[in-house]
Amino acid sequence: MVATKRASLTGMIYTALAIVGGLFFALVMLSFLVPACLSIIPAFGIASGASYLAVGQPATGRIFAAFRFTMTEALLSSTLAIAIGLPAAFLAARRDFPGRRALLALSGVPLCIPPMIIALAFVLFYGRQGYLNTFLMKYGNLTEPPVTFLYSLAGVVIAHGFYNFPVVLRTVSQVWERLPEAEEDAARLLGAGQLRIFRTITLPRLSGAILASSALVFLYCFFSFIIVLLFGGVGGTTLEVELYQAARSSFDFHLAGSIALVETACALGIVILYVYAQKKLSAGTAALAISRKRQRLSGLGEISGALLYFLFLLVFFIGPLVSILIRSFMQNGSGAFSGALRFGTGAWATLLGRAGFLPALGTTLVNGAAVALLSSCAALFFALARGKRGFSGLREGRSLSRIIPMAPLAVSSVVLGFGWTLLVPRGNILVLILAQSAMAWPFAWTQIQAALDRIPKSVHDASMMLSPGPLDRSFRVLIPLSYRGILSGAGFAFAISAGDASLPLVLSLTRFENISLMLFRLVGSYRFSEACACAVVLAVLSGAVFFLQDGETRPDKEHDL
Amino acid sequence: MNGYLTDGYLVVSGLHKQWPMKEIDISFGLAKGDSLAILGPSGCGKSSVLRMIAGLLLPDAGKIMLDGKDLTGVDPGKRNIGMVFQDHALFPHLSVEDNIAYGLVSAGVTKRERRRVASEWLGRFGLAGFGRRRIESLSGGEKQRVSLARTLAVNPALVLFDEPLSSLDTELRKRLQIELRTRQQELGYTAIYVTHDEDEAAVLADRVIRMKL
Amino acid sequence: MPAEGMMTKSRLLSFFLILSFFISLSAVCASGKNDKPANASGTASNELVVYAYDSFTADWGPGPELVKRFEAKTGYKVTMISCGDAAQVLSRAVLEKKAPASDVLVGIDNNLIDTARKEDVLAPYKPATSSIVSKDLVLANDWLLTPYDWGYFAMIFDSASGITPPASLEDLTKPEYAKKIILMDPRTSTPGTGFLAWTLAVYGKNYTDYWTRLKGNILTMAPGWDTGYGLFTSGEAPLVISYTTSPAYHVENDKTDRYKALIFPEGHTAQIEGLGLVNGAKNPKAAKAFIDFMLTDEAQSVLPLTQWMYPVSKTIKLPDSYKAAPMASKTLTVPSADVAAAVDTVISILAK
Repeated sequence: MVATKRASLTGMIYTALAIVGGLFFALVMLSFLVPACLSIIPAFGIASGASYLAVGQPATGRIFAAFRFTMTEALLSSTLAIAIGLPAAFLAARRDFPGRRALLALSGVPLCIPPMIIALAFVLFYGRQGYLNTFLMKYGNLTEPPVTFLYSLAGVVIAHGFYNFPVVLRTVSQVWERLPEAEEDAARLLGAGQLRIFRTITLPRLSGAILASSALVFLYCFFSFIIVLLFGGVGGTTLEVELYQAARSSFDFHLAGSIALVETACALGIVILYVYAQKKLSAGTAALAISRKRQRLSGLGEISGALLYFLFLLVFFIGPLVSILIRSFMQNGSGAFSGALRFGTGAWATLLGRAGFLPALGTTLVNGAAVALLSSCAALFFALARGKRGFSGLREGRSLSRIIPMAPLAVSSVVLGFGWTLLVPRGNILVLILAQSAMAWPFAWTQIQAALDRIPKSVHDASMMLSPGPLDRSFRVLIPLSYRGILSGAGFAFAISAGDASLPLVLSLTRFENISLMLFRLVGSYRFSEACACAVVLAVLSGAVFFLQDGETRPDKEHDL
Repeated sequence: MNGYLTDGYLVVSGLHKQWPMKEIDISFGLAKGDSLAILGPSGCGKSSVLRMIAGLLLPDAGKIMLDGKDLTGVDPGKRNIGMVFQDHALFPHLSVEDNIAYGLVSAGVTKRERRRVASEWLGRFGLAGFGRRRIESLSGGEKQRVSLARTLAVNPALVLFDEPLSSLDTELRKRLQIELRTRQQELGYTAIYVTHDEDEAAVLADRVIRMKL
Repeated sequence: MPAEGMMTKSRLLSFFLILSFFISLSAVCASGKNDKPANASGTASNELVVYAYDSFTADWGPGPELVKRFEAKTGYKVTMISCGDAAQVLSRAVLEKKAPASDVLVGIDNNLIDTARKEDVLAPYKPATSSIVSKDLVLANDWLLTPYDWGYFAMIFDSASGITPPASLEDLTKPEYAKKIILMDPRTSTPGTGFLAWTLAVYGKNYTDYWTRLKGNILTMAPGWDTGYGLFTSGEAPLVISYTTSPAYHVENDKTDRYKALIFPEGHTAQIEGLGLVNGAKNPKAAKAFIDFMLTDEAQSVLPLTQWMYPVSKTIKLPDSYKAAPMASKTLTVPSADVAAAVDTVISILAK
């Protein structure tokens, strides 16, 4: 019968797509596991590897100091990121105001601007001769710059905290805007004040999202290299730095392998701790309702509080970013001794006029699109496959399946890149796409999984009752209802790919240049104004991706789950 | 609780599930076209019984036979059982029409035929012309009717109702209770209702099973 | 918009996306296949693969022009690959030791030559015109490496900062320069190593004492020259370790003589950059031709305005802006093994 033929055709298409998804996932997992294992093996290669970590060796002492410093700064930085991110999450989730979408779009910035430019941005702004100090000195009649925290632990923490708070903002706001009102209303009726409601009802429900985002921030800070080295004060060192040294300048692959092992073991430990903590708190994410209507800011207290907060953000977060923009419009004035920079579009003209600029832009876009596609398909496959285990729905086998996507976050790109070079001495763009996807898919997955988790259980159940099998309901109900999360995940993956300059270098690709590499090379050759212009291009690119996919689903209210 | 145990349309024997604080052990039978209400206070596990029959929850032990077929290990979508949920669980991304016709797509029914079936059900429930509407524009009672239509459109052997009217106001509730009963008798499907309301159970069902905490 | 239509649309969209991915994937693979000439044919006699560092291969570096001139002159086809920085060039060569994928390594300097020798990745080759290189610039007597440019390390001073410039390494430890000096990490940066070597040359065994006294004046140990110099030009500090030729760059491009190189009477350490024939290269003939080429006027004349280092050939006319680059009175040298050993110690001093 024609009808059943068409049904089986559709069924076959779904099966084919599912197989493709599975292949992508397998590919992405292998792209992570194989290089990661390869790079750690040298640690076990020869007995001498172990001797490096014996007590009393100078290297051991430094590695331990590095470990201590790494953990301290990562912990403090994540705390700061939460402190800054929560108010932003509240405003974005529960209040309507002009510029709300712009606020959310900012959350893409940390992913796509390489840390080196952020470091320079902070220097341009907070430095001893930076915009902030110059302003304060001029209007405060001071002789010495008042703001001098930059080159200390405080500087590292602040740079990390501000760079990463958008991650908290994004993750937490998405949960906050879906908390059911009923509980808060009930508490208010019982006489609880705003603060108490927040403390006892809202905060516990948000704890899952807070924990998730802070884990991501922690891991980012754990592997941070340039910012720590630049601002860490004289001699500050992290495990990643020790790894760099061992692998690069002393050619000691055994030591490098050992450090990689220690670093990865620590990070994996953090990941596992996080997963178990998440499990205990996951009850909070059940019964999330449809997105609530946002109110306008009202009341003097609220408005003034919000304005103060925005001012705070403007000065401390937007300020450094805008410094990059301003610097890109500065060029050196002529005339002996001036050396002073003046306003001009010279840097932009040079950059855009470079023969390699448009091809680099094209490469960034194509590369990013490929990584976005591969990562989001792999992540989608994993998220859907994971939910099908067991009849009881979504809860079984949770721990291990939460560890798998976090695993790539426990390994640094140095380690992975090292492994890839052992595997494929001279890489090509395909290897790059695989390597970047291996690192980017967990980010895509957090977005997709969050979107899937938002689908009410009863809708899930209804689809189970009415669809003949998991593939059918995945394609007809689950995917359409989580479309927003899928696009968000793809956007994250794109941003990560666009901002990556280290993997292309490690893989030594021939004739490959993207915007990130161009930026890196400009900075390395005195061309700071041009580099800042390049950074602006990169920021606009990724910001546009986030802005677009955030805005896209707005008109379709009925999709808004 | 015993009468139709061996040769009923639906036979549930020794259905057992254990939790740390709770245990369920239940057996019953149902004839074709009958309606049964499972009554009990909240937390006694009546929804879980329903979910086990539907295949959404895995029992520790026990057997479920429907129209002679053993349902152990069968995918919920293949059990020929329908379920109406407390919060209607309509698919928000689909129109009313597409919701109702959802189960027919995988059976290979043509688009035209699906539209026809959908408008037929809408007419039956007094919702003619609602086909192209979005779900969120419907009232609570309308949603519940669409939900029922969606479940019935695929002609299931058994329809399960998980507190279908709890989220509605009393006035509407009473009206829909009678309506549900009438429909069931008119269309002749076999139904199991889960409710905590005695009166509701009395209106909706022929027989009642009580569950204790 | 009927919901049914929308469902079909999203299905179509996913089809389209997956299809376009496969198309672009195959396109990429196809172009990737074209990209593997040197590896495949072992006796491709007119292909040359050169490993160099970033600023060498960049648009504004000497690489592209050198390649152009070399290809025109000899007819060989050159593939120049950037491996990151000079240490990474060597690192890559070590990784590929058993089956080298390159013919020439560019950027191995006087600090890296010992490691290169130990790892046995280079083969000695004395170019025909080796005599143009003066004795003090020869990196190795067996010509394991051929030098192509060099420069002195020096402290660069921002004359607009209003402070008195230091006159010696010892001056740098004076309290008036507290937090006013930008150095680079010797583990990850050549000028950083250069400065460390400088202190070793001047203070000998007492370098640890010097560093302990210097510690309080260091603003930061930047991870690389780029970030360090960036901080300097942003006005973060008035002193930075760089090359004597840095002021020349600013005169030429920024039209300013604000930044001055300071010459210290005790002498300066130098960096001599070299290129070498890879041990086991697939195309040694082409490699030797390239090394020969690097010592010709044609090649050496490209270097001053791109590398901002002195070419080894003394016959090259330097641009006017190089007048802003002062000459050191004395050249200091330190065995690279000593420098390598000192790195650990200094880092530990700074970490306390």
